[in-house]
Amino acid sequence: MSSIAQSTQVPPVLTKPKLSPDDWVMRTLIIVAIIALFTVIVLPLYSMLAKSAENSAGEFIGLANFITYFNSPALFKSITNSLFVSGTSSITVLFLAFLYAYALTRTCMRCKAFFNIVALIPLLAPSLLSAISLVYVFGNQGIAKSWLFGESIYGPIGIIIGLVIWVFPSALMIIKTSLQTTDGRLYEAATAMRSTPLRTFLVVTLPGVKYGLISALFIVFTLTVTDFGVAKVIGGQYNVLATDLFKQVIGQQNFQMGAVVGIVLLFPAVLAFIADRYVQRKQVSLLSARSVPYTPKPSTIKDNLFFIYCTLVSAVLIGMLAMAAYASFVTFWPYDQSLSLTNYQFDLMDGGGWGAFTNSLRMALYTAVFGTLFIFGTAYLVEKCRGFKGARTIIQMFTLLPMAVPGMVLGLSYIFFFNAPNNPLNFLYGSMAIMVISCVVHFYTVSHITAVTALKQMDPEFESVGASLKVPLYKTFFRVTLPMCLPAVLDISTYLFTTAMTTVSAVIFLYSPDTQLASVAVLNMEGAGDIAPAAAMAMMIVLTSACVRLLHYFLTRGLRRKHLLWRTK
Amino acid sequence: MVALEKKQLEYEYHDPKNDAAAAIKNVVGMGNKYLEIIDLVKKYDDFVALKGISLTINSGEFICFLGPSGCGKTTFLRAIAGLDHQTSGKLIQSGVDVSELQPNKRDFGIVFQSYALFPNLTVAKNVAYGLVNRKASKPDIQQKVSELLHTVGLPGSESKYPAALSGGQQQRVALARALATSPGLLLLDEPLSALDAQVRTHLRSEIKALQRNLEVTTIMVTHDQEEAMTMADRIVVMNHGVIEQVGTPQEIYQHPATAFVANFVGTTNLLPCTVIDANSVEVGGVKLNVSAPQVLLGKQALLAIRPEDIGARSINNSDTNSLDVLINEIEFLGSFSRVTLTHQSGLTLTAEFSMNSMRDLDITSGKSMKVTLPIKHIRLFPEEPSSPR
Ligand SMILES: Nc1ncnc2c1ncn2[C@@H]1O[C@H](COP(=O)(O)OP(=O)(O)OP(=O)(O)O)[C@@H](O)[C@H]1O
Ligand SMILES: [Mg+2]
Repeated sequence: MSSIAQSTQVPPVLTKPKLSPDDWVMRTLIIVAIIALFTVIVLPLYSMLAKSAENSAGEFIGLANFITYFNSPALFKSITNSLFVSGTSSITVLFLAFLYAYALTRTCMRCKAFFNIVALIPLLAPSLLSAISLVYVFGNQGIAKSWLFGESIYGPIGIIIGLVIWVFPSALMIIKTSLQTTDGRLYEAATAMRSTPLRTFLVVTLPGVKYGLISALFIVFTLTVTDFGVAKVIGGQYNVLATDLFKQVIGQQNFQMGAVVGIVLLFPAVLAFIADRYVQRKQVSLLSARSVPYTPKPSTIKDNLFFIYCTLVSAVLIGMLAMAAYASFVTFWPYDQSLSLTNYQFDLMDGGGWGAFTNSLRMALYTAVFGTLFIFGTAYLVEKCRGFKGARTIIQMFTLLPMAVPGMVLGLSYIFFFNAPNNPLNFLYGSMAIMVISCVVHFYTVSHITAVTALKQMDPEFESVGASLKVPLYKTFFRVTLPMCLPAVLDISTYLFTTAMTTVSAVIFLYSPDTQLASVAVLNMEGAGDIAPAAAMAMMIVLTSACVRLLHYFLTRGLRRKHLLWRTK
Repeated sequence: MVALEKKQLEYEYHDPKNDAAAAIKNVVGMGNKYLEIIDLVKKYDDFVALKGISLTINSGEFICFLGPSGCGKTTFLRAIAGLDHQTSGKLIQSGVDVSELQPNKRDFGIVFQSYALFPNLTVAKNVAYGLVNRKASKPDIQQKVSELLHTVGLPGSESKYPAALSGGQQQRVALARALATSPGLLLLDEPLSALDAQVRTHLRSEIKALQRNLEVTTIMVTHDQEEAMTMADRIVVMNHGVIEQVGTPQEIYQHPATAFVANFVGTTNLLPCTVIDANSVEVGGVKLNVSAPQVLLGKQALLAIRPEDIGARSINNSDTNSLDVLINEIEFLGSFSRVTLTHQSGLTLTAEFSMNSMRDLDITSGKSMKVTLPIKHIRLFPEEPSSPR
């Protein structure tokens, strides 16, 4: 009955599975995705690199441009300025956000939900908004100019405050997550050993969030060193790398030197990115599946102190928004303080009018729709394709790359690449499409990670079950995978929409007279001295982002109810 | 589980493909070759998970793959399904070479350890998942689904979501879903391991009864020997990517082919020994009578004897292999006790005595007693940990 055969010594015939139509489709799509990502990420960056080694006649001159750059004291000063401003604001925001995150996760303070929402306000607006508000408060005609004791807000002080406000939510989210994932059992152990609160903080809390803090530092540093809006509005004569890049390209039309600054700007971003990857890899090993969440215990003094702190921070964030909102309704600051909608008559001003706003809406919508389709689709292919390892690894590399490329640098490289006369994709230049592409690429990494995380959370055997029941893969995708991933899909599209709506850096070099955008209009109107209309346009952006977030909230809540039905008894 | 007519499922639902499958089944018939696996190798990079496995499975058989964790059971099962393709080797299913076919071109139903029920679909839609694709009419599908749920003992739970079911119920739904398309081969990967002991015992007999009634060829992976013993027609014992033995539960238990099997299935005293001649071995200074196979003469070997085979009643000094031993520990296990015995030579044995013997012989810790190792229950295996291939 039993029938074990001894294996023979004949060399075995290797069997290769016949590829099913599903496999062919997936592999073809993966190749298409690789080509697409290569075209919109790698090739443009390469053309920027090439440009930096050319003279204005297009001849190769090696590193001559870089030598000129580093020998020009004014340009070189921007590097130290940038590092100073970013370093200072990063450390400041880290400190502020840590306290805020600590209050939200480790105390029994009142109104946590409120403080959670308020902290997100800066995400709704371009970075310009915080700078504009600062001008209204501390500027030449500001309401609280005297508070600065004669110092001018136009310069490093203004830039630092503006940046701190703008990146506050980004830092907060990372730190909060790492505080939430610390193992509660450690605290129980510390209490059992009668450790003092200070000692517990130093020995348990800080090491637990160490990686979160470092990660936040790198991300915030990249954001601040590559931001352009704040320095442009409130920097005055204080030059930083990002404003230099703008001046070289838009002001002097010196594209070669622009490419050089672009590459210099790429450096800190890439370094921070690599360091962050390194740290994040370490962090994974810290978490265990058996951790228990930490539940804070009430303590009157602590809770009240943190409540006061959070109230102060919230007051600043709300104040920033309220100041701009109020200023946008004031007829003619500071002479005619009556409230009116004068500043909202964008069609009477330069900057693109209401058309810019509708363009922005369209662009954000396209970015959300096509971006989500492409990003989620690619993530699905990478996760579910059988075999084809090499190609999947390439895609994974491509998806990480955009995070290290500042928006302005990406935009600049698009000029070089798409505007080249011999490029068959030249027709994209100056179109809506190129801005959509730029936005999708610029915000690719975060969206991709969201998609992959959601896909990984599903039972890997769903597809196997489908195959055993002879159900084509696409049916399983639409009937099971997609519905299960809908919350993530909503997250991605909301993220893409709001970031596309608010970004300046990714589109500043790419818009054309036909495709003016709201965020750029804010910048241009402010530059032309129309600061109140700029505030008004910024408020329109805030309003739109807020509405989309609200919509997202309600949709997600509905979904969660449904999922609760799927998940619990 | 509800009693059911033989093959009820196969005939209620008509589909040209299924008729073809049924026709093949009739041709093949119970007890004929259904699945032939020839020299299957699976490599993960440098690691060889399956080292050239060959096995023939008859139609209608219930086969269990039994082996320790990491021995390659799941890998083997997934290779049979085509979910993880083998590196080399052949698979012939009801006469057709399926070695290079994708899973969706093969004929099997599968239940995973995690069940992999679609959480966003109701029980009915889960069960009907494979049917909808076959262009059957709605009422037909509905009827089929309710029959299937009836069969697995879950009538009336069509509209529930999987999350609202207990582990055992989810397991049944997964089974119904796998059976819905009337596959010729049912694959179960540790289907019961996530359940608690009582549900497990209960489902064991249900699955076995269901399988017998449907006459569907079934392969179940398990690392629980009791499960394999009670359910399987034949057990395939695996270790380190090779098959150690194939046989009925009785064969495996009573005539283990290797020391590994002897030790893995049930418990065994495994004692290193030297084979002196065809009739005797030396174990730690004690000479025992055995019948040793020719190949082991003069070699180091392992002597195996099951605890329950050690005799304790009415022993004379003249009896073969009788030993004076000291009673060390006694572990009370209900109807019998497990007793650790030491011989003056340092030899330690584990024996199992019924409560009856314990009482009659007054076996208590610290006393000495006489035991025998009957020749017919002693087996000898080559010393090296078996990895013959
Ligand atoms: N994808 C893989 N890559 C590399 N090695 C693998 C992979 N899958 C399995 N293995 C290895 O192959 C061997 C057999 O694994 P398999 O899952 O078949 O074991 P198993 O007998 O099912 O064990 P268990 O009882 O724990 O489920 C293991 O040593 C495992 O580490
Ligand atoms: Mg397994």
